[in-house]
Amino acid sequence: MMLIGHDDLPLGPHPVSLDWSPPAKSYPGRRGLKQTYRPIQPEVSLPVSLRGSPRPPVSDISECLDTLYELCERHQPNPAIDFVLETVDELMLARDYDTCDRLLQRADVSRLSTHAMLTLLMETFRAKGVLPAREGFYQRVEARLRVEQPRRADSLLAGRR
Amino acid sequence: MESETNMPNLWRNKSAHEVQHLAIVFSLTPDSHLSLIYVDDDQQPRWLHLAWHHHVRERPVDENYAWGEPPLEPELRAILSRLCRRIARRYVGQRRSIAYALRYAGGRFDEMTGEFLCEDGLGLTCATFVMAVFATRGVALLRRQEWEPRDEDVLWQEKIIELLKNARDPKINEHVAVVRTEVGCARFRPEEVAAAGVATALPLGFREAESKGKAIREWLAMQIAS
Repeated sequence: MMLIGHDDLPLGPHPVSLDWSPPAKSYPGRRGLKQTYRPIQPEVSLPVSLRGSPRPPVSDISECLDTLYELCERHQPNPAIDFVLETVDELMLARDYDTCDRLLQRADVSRLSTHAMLTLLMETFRAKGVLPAREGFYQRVEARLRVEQPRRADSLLAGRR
Repeated sequence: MESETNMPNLWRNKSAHEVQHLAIVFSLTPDSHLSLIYVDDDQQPRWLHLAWHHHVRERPVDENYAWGEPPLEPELRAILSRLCRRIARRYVGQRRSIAYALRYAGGRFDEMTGEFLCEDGLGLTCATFVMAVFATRGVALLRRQEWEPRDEDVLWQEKIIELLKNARDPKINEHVAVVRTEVGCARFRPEEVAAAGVATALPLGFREAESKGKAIREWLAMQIAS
């Protein structure tokens, strides 16, 4: 075993053995009395400034809408609902109302399912004051529902405006 | 059978597997309790409720329950059921989740984190938990402003204060002290919120909710007795 001390390595603050490795643990992911799983956190992490800017939640609106259109074409409502919930929630959390507004402006209601349209309206309801394109989106949704589901249009849209 | 025919046709003691997306559940255990059943991705109905102070519970269910579906289009119920799924993932199993308190002033859940946002008040009851889930998506079950304090609710509120003292919460003394100031507030009784499950339109006013709620409670008590 070769030890390198302070005198040999002035830049290193601690004496270090080159062949040293941390002792193996029987259950490396389990900690505490309850032995519940917790992912091992790295002891050293990069300073925040080196991690870069946080990725915008919706970097490409066209890509985001294409994904949503694809989900709607599958005729399985839950994935489309979840996608809208997550996308809009992330935008709201980041207070990125401009992107959210552009999303509503560019959304092609003819390619959206009823679930997706209503989820978009419900999710953006709380921020309607800062989303000028929402009113236009609402009108496009209403126009489509009045043609396709005239009997249910009022009950689907009640309170959504 | 008489009580059965008197009940609005949406409210029955029936299998949880018949729930379409989301339903409001009323139970007497023997105290009245309100909860939700939502249907998850695997079509398994799941029972979600605020059981007690910082105890949000959720589990799959197969039994029969007395439940009703609020008068919302299926698409809207589907969206609300996804919210229930989010709330369950956020709160179930957490040591601190949603506090139990008496007064409800329109709090709701944050859509991103599932965090309960108290606009006023200190927490929720089982009944106002259900109201808050719906309020999150802009669906008001009751016209809250029509509810006035009722003398007979004070006894129940005092009982809750006594029970809260035994709750496992290191900060329970402080919590009890402030919840005590809410005694005497308007109470949204579980059966009155349950009445939204048999309503023809929302939100329900006080008179309608009170009479329908009373009918639901009596009907269920008769079901249990028989």
